[in-house]
Amino acid sequence: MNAVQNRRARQTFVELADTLVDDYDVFDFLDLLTQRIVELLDVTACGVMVADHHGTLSLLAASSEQTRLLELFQLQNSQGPCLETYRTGRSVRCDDLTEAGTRWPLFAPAAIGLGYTAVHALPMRLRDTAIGALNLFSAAPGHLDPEDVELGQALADIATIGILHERMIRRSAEVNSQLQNALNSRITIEQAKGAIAQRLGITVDEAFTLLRGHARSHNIKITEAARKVMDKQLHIGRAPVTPEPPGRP
Amino acid sequence: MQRAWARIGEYARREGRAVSVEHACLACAQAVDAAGAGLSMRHGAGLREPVYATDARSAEVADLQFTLGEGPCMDALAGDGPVLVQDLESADSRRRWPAFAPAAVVLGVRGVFSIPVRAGAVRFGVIDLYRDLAGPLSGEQLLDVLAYADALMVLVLDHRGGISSRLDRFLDDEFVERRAGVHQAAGMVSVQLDIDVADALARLRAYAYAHDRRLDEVSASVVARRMWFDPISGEAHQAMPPREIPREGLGGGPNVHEGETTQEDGPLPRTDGTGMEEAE
Repeated sequence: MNAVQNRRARQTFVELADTLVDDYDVFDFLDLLTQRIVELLDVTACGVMVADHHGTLSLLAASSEQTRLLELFQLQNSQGPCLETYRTGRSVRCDDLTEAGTRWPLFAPAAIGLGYTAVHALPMRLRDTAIGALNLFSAAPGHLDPEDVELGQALADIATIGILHERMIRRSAEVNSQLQNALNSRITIEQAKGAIAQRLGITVDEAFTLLRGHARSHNIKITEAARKVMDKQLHIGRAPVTPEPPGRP
Repeated sequence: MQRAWARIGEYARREGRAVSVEHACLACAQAVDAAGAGLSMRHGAGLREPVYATDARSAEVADLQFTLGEGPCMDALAGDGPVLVQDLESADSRRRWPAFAPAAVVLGVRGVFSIPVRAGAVRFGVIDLYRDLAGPLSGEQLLDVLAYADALMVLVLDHRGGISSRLDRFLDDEFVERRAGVHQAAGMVSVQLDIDVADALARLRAYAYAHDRRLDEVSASVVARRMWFDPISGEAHQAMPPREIPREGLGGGPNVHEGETTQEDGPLPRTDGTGMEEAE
């Protein structure tokens, strides 16, 4: 890691710690985290997946809400690096997906189809319990160097803390309860994406951009904005369209 | 989840009836060593009431919460997640529910676990589990209860959708409920028909059931706008829909009703082949 990267990593941790104040929104936090992971680790895309109460991996947040990318994450509840990492508790990597057709007959071609060549999955754990995986995709073949993997793992650990809210969670029932809350909020966001898309005649991807833009410009939580959309307390208009956040700060 | 449905099925078979929320409550209470369970539901705007209890005391404890206007169930209904109370005699519980906690203890209840029956903005209600002894719910037990809450969700949805519940369908649906596309589609249909998102999800399930299709497939068609629900007739169309909310006047178009010839994938054509233009 060079000096610039080092400074940016430090800035990111400060920024993330600042976000973890009372009453923060898991989605605002994960939205920021996934953007920063892509920048810091120089990967093309990333996503945070956690297990629900059926033991099925579900996506909580991704660096991009592009539908086909979301489907690629979803595919991993049956096969792929995230599933392997979740089951073994160890990181999994593949430097060249074109050679992984036998290992992951569905996942590998789907990832290649989206332009990704290499993939990493880093475990998300609370003490001894695996709760999910941080998934990193790169367009170029190859793998992260050990320092970047270490940084990635630290970011995966921060994601775990952010999702579980409380640092002093002791009982596994509380962990499961928090995970369920986070996954349930994600459902509200999906419903709101659909409602906005239908109302404005746009795609669900575009609807998410509008929803996030509205939440940011009005300084409210994404989850809260989504809930209000569903309760008909908030109508999100077509304009002004908020552009996707730039790739760098 | 399969285990949950199997147990619910056993209760139903014993009574020789179709599976219902009652069987789910009974099976859930038994699965986590609770003395009883109670189900409370929302009805429309803000109105909530206990609808079922496994036994007389559970009914009494549930009623007590509604009479006093406080308790774990009320908090779970109002809030964002499960409320897990291991001991109603603790100082914390008495502080939180000064009227309910001692009253429930008098009835012999020490532990209460209130789990919402919900999926995002679909918030049907809460299942309460009552225990005679203080102590936590284990992680494994909470997972069980969450699975039963999902089962209750499906049973309530199908009741709303007018489907008689069939166990073999449920096994197929357990993973599907978590899929993003299903919830996006429910959000879209709620706007198409100007109905509650819960009813929209019920409609989607009912449609999938009636046409023997998978819920996630039907949902994908809705999200891709290969299918939409007519706000006037309430029927589903498989024609190319207008890009915006269907307006009156468009209804006269030659829409293909529920044809099974969906246009698979590929970019969305700008017209539907029947000459109907997309609305601007």
